Amino acid sequence: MASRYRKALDEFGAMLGVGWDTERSARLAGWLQNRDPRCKAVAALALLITVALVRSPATLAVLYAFCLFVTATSRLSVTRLMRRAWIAAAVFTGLIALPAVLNVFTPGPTAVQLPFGWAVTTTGLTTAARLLLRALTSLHVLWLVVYTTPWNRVLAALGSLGAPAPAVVTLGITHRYAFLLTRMAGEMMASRSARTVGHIDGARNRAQITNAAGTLLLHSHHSASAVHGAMIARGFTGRFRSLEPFRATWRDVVLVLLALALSFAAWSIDRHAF
Amino acid sequence: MHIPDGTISPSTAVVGYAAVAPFWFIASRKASKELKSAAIPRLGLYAAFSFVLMMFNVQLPGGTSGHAVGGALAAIALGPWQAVLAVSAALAIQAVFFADGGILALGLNCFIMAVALPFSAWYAFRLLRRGRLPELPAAAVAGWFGLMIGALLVAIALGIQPALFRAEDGTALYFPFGLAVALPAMLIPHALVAAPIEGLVSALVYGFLVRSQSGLVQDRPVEEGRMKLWPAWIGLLLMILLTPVGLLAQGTAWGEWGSEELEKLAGYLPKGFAAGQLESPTHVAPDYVIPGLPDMPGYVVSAVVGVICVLALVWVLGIALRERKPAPGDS
Repeated sequence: MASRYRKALDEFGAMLGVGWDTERSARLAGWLQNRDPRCKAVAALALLITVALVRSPATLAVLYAFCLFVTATSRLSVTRLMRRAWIAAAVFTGLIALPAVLNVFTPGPTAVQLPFGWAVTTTGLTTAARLLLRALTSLHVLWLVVYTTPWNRVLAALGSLGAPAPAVVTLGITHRYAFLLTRMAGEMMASRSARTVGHIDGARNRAQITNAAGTLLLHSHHSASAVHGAMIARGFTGRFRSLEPFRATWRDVVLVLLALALSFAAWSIDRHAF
Repeated sequence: MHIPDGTISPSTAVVGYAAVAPFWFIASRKASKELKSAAIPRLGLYAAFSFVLMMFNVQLPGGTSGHAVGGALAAIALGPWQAVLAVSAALAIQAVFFADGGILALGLNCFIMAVALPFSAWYAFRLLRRGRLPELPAAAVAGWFGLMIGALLVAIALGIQPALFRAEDGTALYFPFGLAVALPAMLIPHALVAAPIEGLVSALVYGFLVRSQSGLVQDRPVEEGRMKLWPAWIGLLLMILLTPVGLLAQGTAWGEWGSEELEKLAGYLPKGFAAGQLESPTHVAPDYVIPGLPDMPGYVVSAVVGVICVLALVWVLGIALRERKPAPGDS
């Protein structure tokens, strides 16, 4: 099998794995899974804004530790979620943070002297730590919601919080068909690789990718009218409903109050102590 | 190209949401007006397609590979307004499940990749087709151009962060590199790799759609009718008003050093460089500064004058190169 196809198949498989993993985790009987999705969304938003506002890496580290604690209480694998978040943060933010430690970009007191007049500065380390911790904590806050709430409950919560119905329904369809199209794309790659022997040159790769992408676009185009017909046939009214009605209990209120209190405390301590 | 959370300030994130909100509103209105409720599954499926398209790795001549954003293709095949919603939904799913772009940064990411990229690609495609360029090269150039506009906006959004948001100790609170680093770091690799891939994918898949005779692209004749130019004028006006952003940049743009700066950087001044540095009396506004005006209005005035000069030049060229209608009896 050509390595190019294997790589594509791995990517498609990983993507499908994430979708399956989030739905499975969301159905566990953990503390956060039992909370009202609307309250989780409000709490997460408060924490995300706080993470963006605070400046000290120490405050960010405390917020990150709090997220890890909540992860553990929700029967989620702390190490697995940490690994995912660290990999994502390293890929998307680490590339920015790494050069920032050098005196060329962030002048300041030298922490480690490097050859050719280069040095790692303490101010550079602070900047990089701030960037990485902020990215990690933001990701963890978001995933605490995603991994503890089935996607249709997230959408229903968005709708009840005032998000426009067309946007909510479009997101729902996008999510469902993204996984379906990914599976189709994976099957295309698998069937192609089964018929491929030896090296594939760039031109042939481009032709095959084009055919696969074009076919998927045509499939999307034709499926859209079929999906619309099915929606009309079953009496779709434009509202996304959940089978379980939302009921906020005192525990949900505690969650929101806890998030707001933590956000306020982190923000004020960060402003005055650092 | 996806901006993660933590690299832009909350106020920049708010600006991003404010910038994209009118486009989301108009696109939703247009979609429901044009297609009734059928718009929803159609947009959802196109969004799913955009999402999957970003996972296809395409090999460029030379061995490099990468993936396309799909914004240009969506704009050319579906029209820019449908592309706004489809690419936005794909970006939302990417941010939520795959950490590709942040939630607070989603507004800005959508403005760049779901609005600026598709619209600039769409207008470039229409202009090139009106200039009689064949469809596939036009789609390729439009894809390249759209992605470069996106990369430019990302570089500006990130590059202004250290000038606007700093801690008391002088360290950057968000993205740590200024425009002098952000612009070349974003534009050079995108011009060489990501934008050619976007152009290539746009052209090849567009060609596939034309060959398949699906009716998806044929029902949008681009050569007929008058093209609405007001969005381009508004875009131009916005760009003019944004020119003072350049004042936030520290240092000199890479490769645009004066003799003193180059001597400081390189340790000596090359003889040829010194010989080429002539003060010309024809420089009306050196470094875009108009004598007697503060820097910011000076930048805007320079931009207006520059745009007028370029438009005048294009107008004159247009007259000179205009195809003459054959007179009766001409063979």
